[in-house]
Amino acid sequence: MKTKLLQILYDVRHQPVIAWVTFIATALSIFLIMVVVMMQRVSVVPFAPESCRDRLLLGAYIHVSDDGHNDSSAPMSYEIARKLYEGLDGVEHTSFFIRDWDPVDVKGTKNEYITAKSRFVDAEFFNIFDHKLLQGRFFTPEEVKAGIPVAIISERIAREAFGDDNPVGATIIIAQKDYRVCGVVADSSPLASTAFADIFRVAWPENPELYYGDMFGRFYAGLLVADGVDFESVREQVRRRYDELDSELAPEGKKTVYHGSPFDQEVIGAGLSGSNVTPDVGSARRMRYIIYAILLIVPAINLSSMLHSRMRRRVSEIGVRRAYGCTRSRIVFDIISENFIVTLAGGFIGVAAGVIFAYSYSGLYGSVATLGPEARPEIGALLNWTTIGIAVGLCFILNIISASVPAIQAARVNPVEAINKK
Amino acid sequence: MSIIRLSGISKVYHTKEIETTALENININVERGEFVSIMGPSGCGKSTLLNIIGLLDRPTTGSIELLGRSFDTGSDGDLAHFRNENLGFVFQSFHLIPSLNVAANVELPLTYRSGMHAAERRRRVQEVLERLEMSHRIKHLPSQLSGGQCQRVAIARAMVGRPAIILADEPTGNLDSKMGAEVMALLHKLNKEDGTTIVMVTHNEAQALETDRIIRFFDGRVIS
Repeated sequence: MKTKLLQILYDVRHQPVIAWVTFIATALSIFLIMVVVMMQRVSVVPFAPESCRDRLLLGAYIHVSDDGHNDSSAPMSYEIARKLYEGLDGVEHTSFFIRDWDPVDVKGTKNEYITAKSRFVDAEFFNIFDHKLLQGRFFTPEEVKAGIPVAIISERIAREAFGDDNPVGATIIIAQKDYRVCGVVADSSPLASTAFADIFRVAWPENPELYYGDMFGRFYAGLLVADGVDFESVREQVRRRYDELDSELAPEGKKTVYHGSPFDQEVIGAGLSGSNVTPDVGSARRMRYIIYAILLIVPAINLSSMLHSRMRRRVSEIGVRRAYGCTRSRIVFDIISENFIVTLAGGFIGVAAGVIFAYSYSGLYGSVATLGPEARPEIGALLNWTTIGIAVGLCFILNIISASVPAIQAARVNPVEAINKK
Repeated sequence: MSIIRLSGISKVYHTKEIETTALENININVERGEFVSIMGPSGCGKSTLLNIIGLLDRPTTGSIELLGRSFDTGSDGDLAHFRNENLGFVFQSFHLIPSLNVAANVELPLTYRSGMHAAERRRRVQEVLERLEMSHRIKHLPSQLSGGQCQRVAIARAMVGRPAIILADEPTGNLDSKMGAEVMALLHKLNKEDGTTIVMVTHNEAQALETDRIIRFFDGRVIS
């Protein structure tokens, strides 16, 4: 290890251009790929208020076909959501809520309207998603059932709509209707796409705004699966309920089309496909791997040629090492491991730059106009042991791709010719 | 007992158009503890022979036996292991590794020896450098040493593994006469005190005359 570090320092002093270009190119390639990795990780890694992502399933959409002639699909009505997802074995909490944001104008005690993103949720919603309650309380099941006009607002809305006034118990105008504020929660990132909102209102099952006929509406089902329960066993129960629903629909000549719901966080994070489409996670995954491969192979080819150039200057050294008993395989191992140290050092810088960039630039995760400038992930969602593991793994792959050919070529050099090389 | 036995060694280099015979039917025996010089004009095959004895090159025909072991065949790993345990090399251009200091250069052969602990390696390096009066330069890089000092370090590297045979290819070729004499004195000391067999290629008649035997080459053949 010590001799490898000495060799690296020697290269930096004696071949500074090649050494620094190698280092920077490595850092840049790891930076690029880590940004892509982190963009994807942010959509699946648990962070508040979606700390439950590892155990979360989302029941989304109902698709009904009329003998193939007429297809209808949309989010569910409250009744259909309950029929398909309520009381499943192995599920700790089930919430029926509206996943889409409603942009609304709100006004508190300050005499001006502000724009906010609102979402209708039930009481169970806060048992699944860990919104931090700063003041007041969450909804009660009775309030939801009766459609009491109460609201939970975020810290930002409390500040902007009420200033220094205590918002709990105060009236807030949301979309031209009066609500009573019952709680204040900490601000959260819109990257928590299922849990985030500025304002939560009760998802009253009889609210006509949430229905489009008997089958369709705006409801989704959030399922918090118990520890150790297999997602597939939950899906199997849901599939059986689809069969039961089909039996009910049969006299009308209709049947459901099942698309794999409830979906896990990988599907949710990829952005749910249309309501009449089965999400293709495999295809998204393949596309991701192709992008990773391109981002690795292109710089690896350049790094390989630079390493080849560095090795040409060390041919006689390789000859001497061979003379003193170093085997070909040891030469290959030594060159690859020496290069791995450089790659790791560059990778460290690349990861650090990637984390800073991914944290600072919220536009990375979608339209700033959609997410808002507050779309900033938690640092823990970007930098964690999994991310570090992925980064080290990528460095290793980059190193193997870039160093293998020069290392094998160096090991194949005839020791006599190598020693005589000036 | 012959420690080096070469029988009918020939080496022919083939290129697209021509065939060059570097060695032709060489038969040489070197006894244990002998200090042998190989002399001859440039291009007569001296270094080729040294490379074959050092198992760095293979003969076209003939057989080679070192320390009673035949090397007509052998894998890369076998040859590397044998070289590491039994052979030391001293080159005209020293061939020290520029990124490593004196201690690390001398330690090099021991790093390829399995089962030797770092403490033992360091002890051996210290011992051999003290013997060659180079311990005060232990942290220096090769670029900070004179030619004579570099060759001393190269000899230390050749000695550190306690090989039975040292192969020296014009070890004084890049040194002035004073430093050359010092290096020769070191090789003689090594030969006498440790009983190390030394085969040295040289152009220097005076240095050759100080050795036990001179083998003279001409056009790839032994002439005396």
